[in-house]
Amino acid sequence: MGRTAGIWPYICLVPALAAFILLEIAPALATSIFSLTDYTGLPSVPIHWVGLQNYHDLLTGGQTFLIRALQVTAIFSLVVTVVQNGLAVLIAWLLNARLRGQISVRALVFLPVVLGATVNGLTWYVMFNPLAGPVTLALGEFGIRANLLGNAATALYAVIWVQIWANLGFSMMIYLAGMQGISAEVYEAGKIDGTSPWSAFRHLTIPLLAPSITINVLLAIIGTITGFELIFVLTDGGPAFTSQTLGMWVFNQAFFGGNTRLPGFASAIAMVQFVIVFAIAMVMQFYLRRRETVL
Amino acid sequence: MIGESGLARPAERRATRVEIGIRPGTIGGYVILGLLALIYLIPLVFVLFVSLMSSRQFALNAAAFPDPIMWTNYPDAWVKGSFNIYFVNTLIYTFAIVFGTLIIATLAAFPIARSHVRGSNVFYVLFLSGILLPAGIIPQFFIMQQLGIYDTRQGYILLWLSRVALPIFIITGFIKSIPSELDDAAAIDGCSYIRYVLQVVVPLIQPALSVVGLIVAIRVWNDIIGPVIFLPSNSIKPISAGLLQFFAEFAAQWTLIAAAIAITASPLILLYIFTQRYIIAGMTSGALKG
Repeated sequence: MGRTAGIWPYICLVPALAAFILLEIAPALATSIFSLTDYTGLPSVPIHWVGLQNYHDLLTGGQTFLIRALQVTAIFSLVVTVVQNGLAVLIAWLLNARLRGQISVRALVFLPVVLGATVNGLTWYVMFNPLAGPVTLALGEFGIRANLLGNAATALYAVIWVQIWANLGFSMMIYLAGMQGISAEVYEAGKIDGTSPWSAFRHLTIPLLAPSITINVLLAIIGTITGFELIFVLTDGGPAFTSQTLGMWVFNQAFFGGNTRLPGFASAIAMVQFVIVFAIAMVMQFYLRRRETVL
Repeated sequence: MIGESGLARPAERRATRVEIGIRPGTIGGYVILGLLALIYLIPLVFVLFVSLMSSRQFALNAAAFPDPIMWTNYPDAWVKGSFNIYFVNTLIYTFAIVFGTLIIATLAAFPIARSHVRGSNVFYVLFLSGILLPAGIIPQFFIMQQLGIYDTRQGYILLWLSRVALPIFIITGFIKSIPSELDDAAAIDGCSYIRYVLQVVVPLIQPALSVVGLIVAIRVWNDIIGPVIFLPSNSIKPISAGLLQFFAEFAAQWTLIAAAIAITASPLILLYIFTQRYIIAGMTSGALKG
């Protein structure tokens, strides 16, 4: 079939394939090569092989930086993944129960996904602003004077809050789709057995939702380790690197370190990041898929 | 595949929305939904209010309805932030990238979906891998510098055209879901194959193209990391990067910043109001493939 069309179907593939290989596949793979160089990002400076020097620096010279970035990434990723998914399942469950006004609430919660990181980030920047931000004023009522984004103890948690606010709608929609795929007969059976709503949720909805949980948890983990748009808009990793995740560090180290910007070194950080994401994805796939098949 | 993702079947599927019987407590449910709505409405309404406030009121009594209403904040922010430039740039990027993506993705998806090329599955998996691979921003920077397209409009558009993985995935799935009798191109030879794809296939896959077009447009509109790295020149920045630039320059002028946020967000909100269902189906389709 289709053989008579000859070479033309292949020609149709060329534009997409060329752009895709040139600026997507090749760069993704080439990060590992750049991590073995002293690339500075300046076109006039020649690039040299430095072997594993960048990795050596990362483990010795940059060690405190590495450990701090790993800690920040772990907190950011863990808190966002757990809270966002927990809330999203509960809210999807409520929305799926066809309460009045649920369509509007659903649309509203999804809105930040459409608005994007700059608008979401700056909106909350205004909310958090120390002069007259409602969050600041509300905390002031309790006698807490706080500049949440400017304080090393709270910045990361303020960013976590916005990250969850911005992405809750996405997880929620996936859970809703998953719940709508569960047939009503399952619940009918539960009803006959006299199951309470909570135990139906706990013992019927959650287990049957396993595929949605797998994909949502995976996306949240990958998104928080690699994505950094909101962190960039809100704190740029600060103050004092307290909200600098691995992804944020790669970006700052590669492009915005002034004289210390080192895309070669940043590539080594990106490789560490990649290995972590890959390992987590593999373990998760194995663990969560196994849970799915048990059911 | 796209059928499973909710495109063919709209988000609220009647069949499964029959009375489920086992429901969470209704009053508690309303309380939680109400709180949730507030958490999402307050920041948006607050920004809207601040965007219409005098800076004096913002300093003294920000948590209130704007009085007097300062409509002038909008033209002020627009002019001071050179939003006309950013707006035009974003429109150029959005149109070029959406149409470019739809054309190259359709051209690639059709022969893959209909197995008109040997090893169509290999190509499919190759493109699919692009959804999962991390973006190599450092090599991208190097390649664009070498090609002389760093900090140019063409370079930024080309960068976006390389992100065809999800569009091809969605369009291929859609083509596979329609019977091949409708578009049997097996006997077609020569360059009329390309004409055939653009003239016969494109109208058949209109729904998938609308969804892909919408999500690509939204992503381009919202892209912030891309312009910050690859478009340092202000004259060719899109609106999201322009907004961030404005925020950096007018750091203390909250009322103008709020107006600038509202200016950037309003086209997206309008688009969302009218095409919500397609947007949600499209944006979640990558995750819902099954």
